[in-house]
Amino acid sequence: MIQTRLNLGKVIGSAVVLCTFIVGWELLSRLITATGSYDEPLVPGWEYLWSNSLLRMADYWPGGLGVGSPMTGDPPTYTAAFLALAKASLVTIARVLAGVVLGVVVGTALGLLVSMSRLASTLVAPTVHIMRMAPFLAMIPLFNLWFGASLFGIILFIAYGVAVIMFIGALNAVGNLPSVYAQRARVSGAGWWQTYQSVILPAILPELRATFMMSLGLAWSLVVAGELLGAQEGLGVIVTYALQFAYTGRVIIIAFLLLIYAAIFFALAEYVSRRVLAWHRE
Amino acid sequence: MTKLREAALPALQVDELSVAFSRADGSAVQALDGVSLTVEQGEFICVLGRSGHGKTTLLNAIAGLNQPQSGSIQAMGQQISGPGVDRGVIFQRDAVFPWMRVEDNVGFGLRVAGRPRDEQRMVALAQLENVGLSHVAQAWPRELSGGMRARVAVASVFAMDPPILLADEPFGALDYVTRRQLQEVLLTLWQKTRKTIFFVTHDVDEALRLATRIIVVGNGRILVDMPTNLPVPRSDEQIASARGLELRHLLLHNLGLE
Amino acid sequence: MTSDNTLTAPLKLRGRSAFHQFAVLSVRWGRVPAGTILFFLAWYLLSLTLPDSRLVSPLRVVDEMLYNFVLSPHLQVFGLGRIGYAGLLIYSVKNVLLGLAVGAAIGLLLGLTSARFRPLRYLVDPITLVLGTVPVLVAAPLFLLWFGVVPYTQVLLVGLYSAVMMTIFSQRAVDNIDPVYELAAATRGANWSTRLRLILLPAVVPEVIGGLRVTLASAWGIETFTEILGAPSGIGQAIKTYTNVNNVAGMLACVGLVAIVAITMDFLLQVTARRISRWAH
Repeated sequence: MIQTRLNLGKVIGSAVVLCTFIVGWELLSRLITATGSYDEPLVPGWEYLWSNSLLRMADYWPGGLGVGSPMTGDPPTYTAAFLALAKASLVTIARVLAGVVLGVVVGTALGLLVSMSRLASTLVAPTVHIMRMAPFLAMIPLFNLWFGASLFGIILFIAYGVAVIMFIGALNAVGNLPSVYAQRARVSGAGWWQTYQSVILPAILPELRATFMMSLGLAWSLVVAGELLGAQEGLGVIVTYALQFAYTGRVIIIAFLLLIYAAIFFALAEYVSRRVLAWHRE
Repeated sequence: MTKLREAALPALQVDELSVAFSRADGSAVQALDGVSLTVEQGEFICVLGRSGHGKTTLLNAIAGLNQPQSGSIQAMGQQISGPGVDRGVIFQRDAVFPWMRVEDNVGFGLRVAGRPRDEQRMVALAQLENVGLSHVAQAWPRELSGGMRARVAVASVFAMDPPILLADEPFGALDYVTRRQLQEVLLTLWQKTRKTIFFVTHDVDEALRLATRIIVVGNGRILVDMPTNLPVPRSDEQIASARGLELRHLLLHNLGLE
Repeated sequence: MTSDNTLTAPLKLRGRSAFHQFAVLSVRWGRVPAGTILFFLAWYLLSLTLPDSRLVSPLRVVDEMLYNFVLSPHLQVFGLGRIGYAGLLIYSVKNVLLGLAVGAAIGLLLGLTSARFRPLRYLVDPITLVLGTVPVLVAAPLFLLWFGVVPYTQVLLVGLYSAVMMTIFSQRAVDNIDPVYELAAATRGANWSTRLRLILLPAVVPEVIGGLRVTLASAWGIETFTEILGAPSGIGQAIKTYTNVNNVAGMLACVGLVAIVAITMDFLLQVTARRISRWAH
């Protein structure tokens, strides 16, 4: 039995990249000492990021839970900062989660439905192609207009993007299936529902997984973009506030947070899909 | 229908069957041209023929997987109009479902028919026993070798207990030794259950080893239709007997090789 | 790993029975009229039931596009200068092309070399893993702060995204090549540079161009979005302007134009792919 051991090369490579980044960033911050408006350095060093940018996130805490808020005059505390970030993170994460779930379910279901009929896929193909090529990000203002930049509006926007990708993915996956599977289902006497449920759906899961990962990445892009363009709550909103005062440090911290969240999402998705696809030959 | 009547029915009755396809460039290909044949119950028919000459088309027509232009096919006295559980199929391509464990694969037909879970398990395990795979009942198909997957395919079809069994070059992808083993397995099962088997192959040796009757298809028509008159089961010596050699020459000649 | 052609492969279409002939034949003749007609018909009908503040008919949108194409009085009023959609589009197209070209070139180089050279791979992979999952968009506000409202910002963002994507795609393309081809070449005396030139490069073209098409589609989104955030010109700026005055017709016209340009570029790429790698189709 072959056990996968920690690949030394990969570990060293990652470590080198990480160290280079950390050290390189600090060096850069020492070299580029220019400041933008409001005396914020353009390339804040690690120390500044921790003691100033992170701390001042407390500015976005409206108060409550017994923790003072700079909005009402209290000095900024790390607790307030973490609470502010936690609250914003929850909103953003909730949006992504809801949008992804909605998009995956609707997109996959519609894709499977259309895959049943050649006529349907012929008719639907151009519409979907147009929907895929029209950049999602360019349509944020439209969605804001139609559904508002609220929780619901952004969730719908994310769901739309995810649904289009999953729809195409599901349709293609069904088309790529070896015809022998459906034939076997037919000669075994299975009706269309049974065929789809016990043969087609499990069979396309491997290909759908790749599509799903792609849509996960898209979902995170969409939520960031959506929140940057007019939301009231969430991490993107903090960035919008920070932009107004050129607080580079805060923007960087949010970027880090997004990185971590997205990474967690991907890791989870990897793990779950690996379990579900235990049968798949890798 | 009375049991007596049913026993006298031919398993398959093909009348003036014609199947045509259109190629990608639009031109028509006459895959089968007015083919007629009668298969009695319990026969083991092997269909030989060069690639593209219609043997798979014939099998697919009987299986109900393609649409003939004219002619009719009756299975056990009933006109066929599509696939059915009365005609089990073992496919050329690997049709074992990778997302189901071996046991569930074998029990699939019963599951579709709505049989209770324990009956599915029982029948599946019995069939796996018959093909010598009871020790891998819980394995994933990806863990099995090609030969083992072929056995699973055989077990799956026998689990549904169809009166007629159609096989489309099922052992073509296997190495010689494994193929011989699978032929043994199939022969044993056939002798036990006396189903009607319609077996398409490109391998003359395989046909000589298995068949009670051999058909050669060429250019969409039947060129040869002969009973083998060889004992069941037969040894290599018997296949190399005078009768066997005579048959072999006839087949090779009709396949364009002698 | 499944080679990711899900988004670049055409939707499978096969029609056979007479009932399907109409839709299928018209698909084959006019490329895609039946389905497209359906799309516009649905849009038109929907626009009739909704107020103009929500959705306008496709005819009105086309009118908008044509009227404002060369010179637009609206845009002048909103401070974008004496310009029409055409001028704005040229700005956007230039940025997309520049960013894509430079980024893709870097990505291709990195991807192809790291696929065959292990140590480089160990360095490149963590970077692409991070940059591939994190939406490159988070860098948009950062670049805006650093470089200001200049075209450079957009090009850099598109370039960064393209570089990351093309590294991943070209790595995958090389990984998917059946090693038997290079082995066969080696046994015939080909050294590594010959193998690179005659085997590797031609073999990866289809998949690389597939990846390029996907990257292009997203690149347009990034470009437009960044323009909405802040840019000296570009179709995104028009969208932003129209948003502020709730001009749905204008917004739809702009989005429609971007879609048309993106589809056209994608089509051109597809055609190029077919000609360069006739063997693959």
